[in-house]
Amino acid sequence: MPPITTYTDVLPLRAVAFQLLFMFMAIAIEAAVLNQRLNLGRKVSMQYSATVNLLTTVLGWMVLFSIEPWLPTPARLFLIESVFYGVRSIPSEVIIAGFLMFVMTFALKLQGIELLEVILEKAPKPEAKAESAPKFRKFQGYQRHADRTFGNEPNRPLAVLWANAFSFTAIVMILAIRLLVDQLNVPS
Amino acid sequence: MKDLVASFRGFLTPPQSASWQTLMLLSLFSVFIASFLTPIPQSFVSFWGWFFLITSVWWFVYQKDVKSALTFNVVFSKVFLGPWIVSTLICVAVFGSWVDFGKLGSITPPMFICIPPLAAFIDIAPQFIKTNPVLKTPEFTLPKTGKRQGVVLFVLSYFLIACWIQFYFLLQVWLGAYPSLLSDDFSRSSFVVRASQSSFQSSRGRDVLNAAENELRDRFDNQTWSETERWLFETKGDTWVKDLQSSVQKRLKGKLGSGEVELWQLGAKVAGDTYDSGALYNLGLEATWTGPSADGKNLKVTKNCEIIPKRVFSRRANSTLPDTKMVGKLSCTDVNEPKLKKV
Repeated sequence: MPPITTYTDVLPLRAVAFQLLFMFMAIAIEAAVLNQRLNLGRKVSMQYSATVNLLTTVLGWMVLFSIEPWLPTPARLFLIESVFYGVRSIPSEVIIAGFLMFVMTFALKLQGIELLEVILEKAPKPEAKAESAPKFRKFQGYQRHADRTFGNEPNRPLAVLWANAFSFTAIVMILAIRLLVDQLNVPS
Repeated sequence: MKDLVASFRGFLTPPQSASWQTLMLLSLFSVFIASFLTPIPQSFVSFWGWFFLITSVWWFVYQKDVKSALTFNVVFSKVFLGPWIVSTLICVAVFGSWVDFGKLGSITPPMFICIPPLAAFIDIAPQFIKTNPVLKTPEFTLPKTGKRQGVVLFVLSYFLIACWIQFYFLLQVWLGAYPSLLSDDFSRSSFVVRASQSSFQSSRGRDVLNAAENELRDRFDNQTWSETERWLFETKGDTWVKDLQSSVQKRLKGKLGSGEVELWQLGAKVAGDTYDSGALYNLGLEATWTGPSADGKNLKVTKNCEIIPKRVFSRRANSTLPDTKMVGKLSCTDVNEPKLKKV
């Protein structure tokens, strides 16, 4: 990081506004998905999704700040152009970076929820398998198999994956709308 | 005036020996003493001045009426400004002291970035302390399980604010490295806004072209006319332009922003006198900005020059006849820059 020689009145206020918008959206969507798939209750799923989204946002910023000094000059110039003048083109590297972000945030959210439960001292629920013993023996094999994959038993990684997918889709859609509207408005 | 002094005095008079006023008076006393001392003991005493000031303010903002006055309703929860004040004081003291004790010589970006996380820790600190029932001493404890969720969200959101502050400083680093960014229009950005128009600056193309002009002038003064003509016309494939560009880059190294010079592409064209102005050759200089721009088009800045052969005389010591030689004389117009569009 070269020393700062100028302090200007160029403020990242739009970044803050968009960040808040996207974060609230993602928190709401993910809370709904977690509530539906994990039966956590509305309040708890809201808290979980707020926590993991804040965590991923903060860590995402930190990753940006740490890799920015090591970017090659063309990549940094592309980043600067996108930040100051808006996105005009989407090279394939950006799409790869977006995919990596999706995978990383998924892993981070899963870990984040586990860490949060450690902090909150929530013991994992005892497996309630013994209760639901199959009534009809002859369908046992099929039933057990079906239960494990598609049953009502909460599957946390799958739920987090769905939540992440929904929130990313929503954010990407809004970004796409913004990009399209922007391109329509530009006088040629 | 007397009332004011009296009320101020009443405000600062300690109601009992253990109160924030005592600490504040100790701090004022330290500052008073420090002003008489030589540097090394002064730094020691001023450290205690800061220490008493911080503890006094910390105590003050947690008083009941002050705390309720400093607590505001923000979207989801109440935000108490006291920790922000204390954290700012601590950061100013610590970062100001690293370079020159107590003189605030180095208020740097890390100072601002440290304020929100520190404020968060100050804010949640009481929840980690409980009183030992037997010894009446403070003791470390973990917050109650019901409150931990709130603490986690609180700390994370304060860290997010620190990230935004650091992003502001990252923008300043970029603008310092590429100052020509400030000459273009930010209205399509999804990240930044200009708070006012005062940060508009013309691009650095003017400096590049003026440096090229000076470079050419120095070169023409130091070589004869025929050398100048040979340099302009007989180098292979316009290598003289590249030559010029590299010496301009050397000349401007470290003067513009650190990354800026490499992004200006210098072009030059020399032609016979097309404007019939009496000059022997016309020289067009053009600087093209190849860096980021708002509309994807490259900004071009131009300058027109004329080269006229001129005989100069110089007299050496001990010689009767003056030496004469022909040199090229360069005269240039001002820089032509497309109008700034102020948006």
